[in-house]
Amino acid sequence: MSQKLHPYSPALHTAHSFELKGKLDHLVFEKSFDELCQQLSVMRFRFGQISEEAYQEIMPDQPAPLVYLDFCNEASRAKEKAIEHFQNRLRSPLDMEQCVYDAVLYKLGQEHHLFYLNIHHLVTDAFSSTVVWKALCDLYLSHLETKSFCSLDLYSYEESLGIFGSTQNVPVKPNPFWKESVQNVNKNLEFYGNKSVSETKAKQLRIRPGEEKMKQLFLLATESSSRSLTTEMSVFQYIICLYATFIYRITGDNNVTIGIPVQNRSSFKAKKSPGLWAELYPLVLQIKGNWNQEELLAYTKEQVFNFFKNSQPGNSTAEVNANNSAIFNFITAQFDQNSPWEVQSDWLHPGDNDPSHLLRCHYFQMDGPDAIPEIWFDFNQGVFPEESWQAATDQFMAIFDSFLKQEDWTLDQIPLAAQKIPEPLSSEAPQDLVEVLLNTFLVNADQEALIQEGLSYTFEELSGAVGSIIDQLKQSECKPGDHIGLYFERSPEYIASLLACLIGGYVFVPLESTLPPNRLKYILQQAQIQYVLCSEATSEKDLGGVNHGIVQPFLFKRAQSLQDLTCPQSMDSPAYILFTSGSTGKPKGVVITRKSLSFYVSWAYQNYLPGDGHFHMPLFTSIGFDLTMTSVLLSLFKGGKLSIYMEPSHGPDSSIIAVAKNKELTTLKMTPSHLKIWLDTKPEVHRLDSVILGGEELHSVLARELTEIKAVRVFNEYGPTEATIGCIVQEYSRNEHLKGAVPVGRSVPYGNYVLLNEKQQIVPAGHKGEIYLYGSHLALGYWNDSEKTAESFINLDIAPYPLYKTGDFGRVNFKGELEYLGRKDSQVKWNGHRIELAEIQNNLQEIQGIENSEVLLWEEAPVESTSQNCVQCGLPSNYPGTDFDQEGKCHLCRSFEGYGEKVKKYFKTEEDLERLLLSKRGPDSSYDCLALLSGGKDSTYVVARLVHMGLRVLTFTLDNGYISEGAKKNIAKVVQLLGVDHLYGSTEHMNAIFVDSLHRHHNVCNGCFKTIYTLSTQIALEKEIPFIVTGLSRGQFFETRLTEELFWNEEVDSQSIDDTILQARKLYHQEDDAVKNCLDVGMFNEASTFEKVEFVDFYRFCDVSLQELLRYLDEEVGWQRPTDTGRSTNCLINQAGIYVHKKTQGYSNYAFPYSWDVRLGHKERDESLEEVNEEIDELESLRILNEIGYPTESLLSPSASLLAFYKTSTTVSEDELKRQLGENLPSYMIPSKWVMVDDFPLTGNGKVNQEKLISMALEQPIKETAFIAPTNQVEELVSEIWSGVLLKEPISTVQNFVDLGGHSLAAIRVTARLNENLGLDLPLNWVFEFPTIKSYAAVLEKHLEDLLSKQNDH
Amino acid sequence: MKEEILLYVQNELINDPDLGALESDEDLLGSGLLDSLGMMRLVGYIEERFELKIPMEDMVIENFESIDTLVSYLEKKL
Repeated sequence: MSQKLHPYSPALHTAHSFELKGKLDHLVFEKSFDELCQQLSVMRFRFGQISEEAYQEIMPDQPAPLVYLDFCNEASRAKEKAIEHFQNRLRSPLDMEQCVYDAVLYKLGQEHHLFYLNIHHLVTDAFSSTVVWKALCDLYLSHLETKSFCSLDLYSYEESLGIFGSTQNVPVKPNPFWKESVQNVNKNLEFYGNKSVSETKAKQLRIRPGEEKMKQLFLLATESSSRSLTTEMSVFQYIICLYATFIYRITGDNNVTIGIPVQNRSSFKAKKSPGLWAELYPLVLQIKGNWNQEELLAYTKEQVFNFFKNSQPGNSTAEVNANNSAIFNFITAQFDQNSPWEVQSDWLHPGDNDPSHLLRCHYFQMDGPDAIPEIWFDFNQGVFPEESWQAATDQFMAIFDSFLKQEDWTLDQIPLAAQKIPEPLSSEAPQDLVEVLLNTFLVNADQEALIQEGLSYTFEELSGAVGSIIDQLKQSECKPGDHIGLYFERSPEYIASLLACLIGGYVFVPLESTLPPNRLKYILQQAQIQYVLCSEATSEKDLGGVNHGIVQPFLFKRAQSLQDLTCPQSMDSPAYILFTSGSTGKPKGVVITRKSLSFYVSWAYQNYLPGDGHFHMPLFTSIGFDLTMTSVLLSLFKGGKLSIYMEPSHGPDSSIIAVAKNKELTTLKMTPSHLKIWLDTKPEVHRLDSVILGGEELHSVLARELTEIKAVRVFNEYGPTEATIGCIVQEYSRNEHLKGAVPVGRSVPYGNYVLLNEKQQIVPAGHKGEIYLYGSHLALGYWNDSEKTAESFINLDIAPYPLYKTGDFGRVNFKGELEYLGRKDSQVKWNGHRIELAEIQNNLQEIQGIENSEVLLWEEAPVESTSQNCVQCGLPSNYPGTDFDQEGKCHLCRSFEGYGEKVKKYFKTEEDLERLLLSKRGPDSSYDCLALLSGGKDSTYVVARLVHMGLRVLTFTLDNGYISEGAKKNIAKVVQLLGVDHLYGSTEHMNAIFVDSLHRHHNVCNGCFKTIYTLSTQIALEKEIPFIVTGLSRGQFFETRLTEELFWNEEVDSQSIDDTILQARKLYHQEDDAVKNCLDVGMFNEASTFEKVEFVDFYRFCDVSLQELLRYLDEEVGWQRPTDTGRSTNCLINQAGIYVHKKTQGYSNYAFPYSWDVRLGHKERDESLEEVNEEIDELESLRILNEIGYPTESLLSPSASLLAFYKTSTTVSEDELKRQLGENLPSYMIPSKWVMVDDFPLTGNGKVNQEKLISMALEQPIKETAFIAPTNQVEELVSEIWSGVLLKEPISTVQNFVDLGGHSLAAIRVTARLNENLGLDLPLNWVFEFPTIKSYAAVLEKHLEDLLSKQNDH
Repeated sequence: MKEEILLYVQNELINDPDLGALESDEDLLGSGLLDSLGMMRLVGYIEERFELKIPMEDMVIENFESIDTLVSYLEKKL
């Protein structure tokens, strides 16, 4: 199959070369080969395909001769040339329709030959290769001696497979062990975090640990307390331990699945049969990182035993051997050493592997018993880049060595990397930013510095303002080191104030003009701000009593020299405090020193300086965002220009569009989200030299798009606020960064980073870890928050400096560049899987037509619990659509007041019942009715009354597997007391029905009811019983049969209500649920069934109080309510159903029917509430749910869904997106909900606003298909009524009624409401026949037209 | 029991009539009659046939050396 999938790949070539020294008669060798093919049928197989049918056959004659080539002319290069020659042959695929092998004999010199034999894996395996070689040697020798060929003592493949393969008497049966193993197979091993990509190219690296190490390994393996039965098995399991540990450590995955070919030749004859016998099976190991060597060995021993015990010839199926990304091959078959020559063999790697094999490990010992075994690795090049090969084998050997050393470690502790953090690179003290700026003011006095809407200020003017502000601060009694709030719009005044603080030694705290009032107050207080510099506009806001001064534009006109100024504060003192929103709760103030800032600015200046030596950057992002600092300081640092774009006082900030129109800009610093908008606006790039991106992940597609407009330099800058703006940077390369996110690259020289695992150990090369930063760029901490500072700036033994824990994940690729792998919180756990949201997004981004996307995990808030109950009926406030009036009465009770009287007309008397049930009594009939008996008081009363009426009753109980023993005894007693016949019904599908019911209705009862109706109808039909009597309570009528709408008519006609209920019942049995799929429901297709068997609700005819009921049962029947069954139920699974309903809906499924019992006067409110609020045994419920196979994880954790938001200009469908994403990602990573957006909302900082996105998704019901609004009046009417009943809004006119959660009761309600509205009598089944608003409205319109034209005719 | 195991090993695992009858005291592994895979399969057979689970600590060659040692081990277990 693999060959067909990859027809041009030689992945399945099994080739060996044999270097032969000694006398060789090539003619005899050739003849021997011919004879070999004649005697061994495997050599004459051919495989092909006619149309779709694959076939295989054995040809009568040898398909191709041995090729003989004389390379003697090449002299000393003969061997090299021969190898080159057969390597070429090895790389071209065999033509399997002609011949399954390729054989060449090269003459290299006198008595020196090289034999190359390549046989397709379909007809050979390693052992078979040794058999074939031995056969060839035997033939050659016999011919030398006797001039004729011996007859080989071998069995042909085709006959031996049947005879020696499987055990003779026992046919191969499907093995449950493999079935279970297959379920546990890990299909998603991610080596070094890399996902599988289809690639057949593979590189083989051979490790030769050497004699000493291998001997030691043998010793350890065979002397371990967990040694196996045989030496070979002991070595096998030991190597498995090494390999599994290796995989565990480089994937981080506890489930290590290893595909192992088992050489299924155990019998002697099988060993004399060449051909493909090896079969692949999965060995599934659940590794625990805290195991030591002994524990791993003991565990592995058991798993290996189970593995081999269950591998029998022929029982590996396609299913069993699929999905093995890691392979282990234990090759001990050895080439016979008894040949006419001195032989040096080599197993040739074709350079290709089965592409599903990402990593293969071979334990190789084919060169005879004395050869030292080697360990070979095949690295799939789609997963392992070339740079990783050596690192990977080194890491394997690190594990190997630490196993041999027998040190006291756990698997997690085996050091794969040096536990020493690299020193920061140079950290020469930077030039003081203030000194540079002061010099710039002097040198560039006449040059333009700031530009805003036609206005511009020179450096001289700017220095005037700066000096004046410093004076103003001094006059306001601010001292150096004081905290000054800068509360401004983006404006020249802000820039002047910022520079004044820097130069004057004040610590500035940027406060953007759009800060919400509470946040502003919080920061003012938290940062202990002494004084606020502000603009005219911001001065009017509430500054919580902090002193402030307005910075007026006229300050720029003051001549003031800064010449004699120096900063009074040291470089190590704080320059600014920037508040970042903590992922949880309150913002934190990051304190950055002037030294750190100076480091960044001078480094950035060198790195980003445009070719012409002058920066011109825009200020258009929030001043509270440290990315903005780059634009401000970099442009003014040594005399460049800053164009300022003020934000509007109201509404969205679209400054980016104005930025795009500015032809003069040389350098842009922004987020990738901004870049997308910028690209959309046909930007002017005349002078553009470079774009620096930060704050979000940069996708290579976006970077490419940018460089297509102009070949500018693109930098991807990474840096949390805590490490001063930017600290790790990568210049984008069109040639190298082809897919996925652009790496973030290398650290700035004045700092560094290290990746640590969860245990804060350094991760090995290629491994994913959390990014920790250290060096001169780190903040002093969080202002006034020593606790958070201590949490994030930590001291570890491995480093002599504090490390800042970023919460970001990264991996150093094998080129030494840091790749950003998302935030810690973007790694989410969903349905038990660890998921990287960034990864899904990256893949989504690659899909044609997707312009932009965002993937989020949305966790639903836990369902609200009942806060209020209707004062009259007890209905909980969280019942859907509930509406309480001021008195606390629910809407159902209120409207019931209007039609309650009419409802009474629906009910009848016991005399009516008796008459009805006797109406069909025939001369031959045996029973008058079949009564449903649950064993509870209500149904027992029903049966007792029926018997007392003199009716012949057959009783029926569904044994759903959870009927309590007490209830069964009780049923037996009732049946005996009343002298009625009784039947139990059951189905093997009960659990499936329960699970389906829980999914559909969040309870078990609906599924159970339907099963009862179905099975009892079957019995009634069979026994010709005309009636089935239920014990449903009146409240339950309103849960399952009746709706308010039925009583809207002026005159209640119970016949028409019954007709409607019957129609609904027919539809009810058509619903496509588990009952329909599991049970025989064919009879419900016959209209006659509903005539032959009628359902009668006993309590429609009987109005008995609880007290009277119990008295009757006690006195007339002699029956007491059992006490041991606990609550009002005899069914043990009932409480599991209630548990699910409460967990998912927030209230009990009994709340609604009981409220009706109360409303109808059959129960007291308190009595009902007491039952509804009865405590549920959670553990027992979970146990039962697990037992029936209902997924309980979702009950225990709040339900969550993966949301994908995307922007596209094409009409790519959701299904198509899912399909394409499914090509690269496992199904659990495919988002369940998709929302197409026109534009992505951004936060003030220019990042995607995730909260806004989620609320967008929640506001509009997530569109499964495009939303289509009603287009005419009829559609509007239908739509309104559907929304009212289904409690969903808005509903697209093409959405399906059933998909929207509609069922037969909802159909009654919809139809009744329409009938009421239009004064018509529309059939119920239209709802299912025309299940969309559009189709329903169309048929309705037609109907109305017909009526109209009829009227006109009259 | 002995006879049954003997027949299984002889017919199903060794499966070569040319080798003649298997003696119950013959060294199964040492003589090369069974290889590792054969031993594993024998364990699987014993567990299934006699409905028992051989504990890992008993999976030592001493118990599986020959049909005789195997039978005496099993007699202790059953």
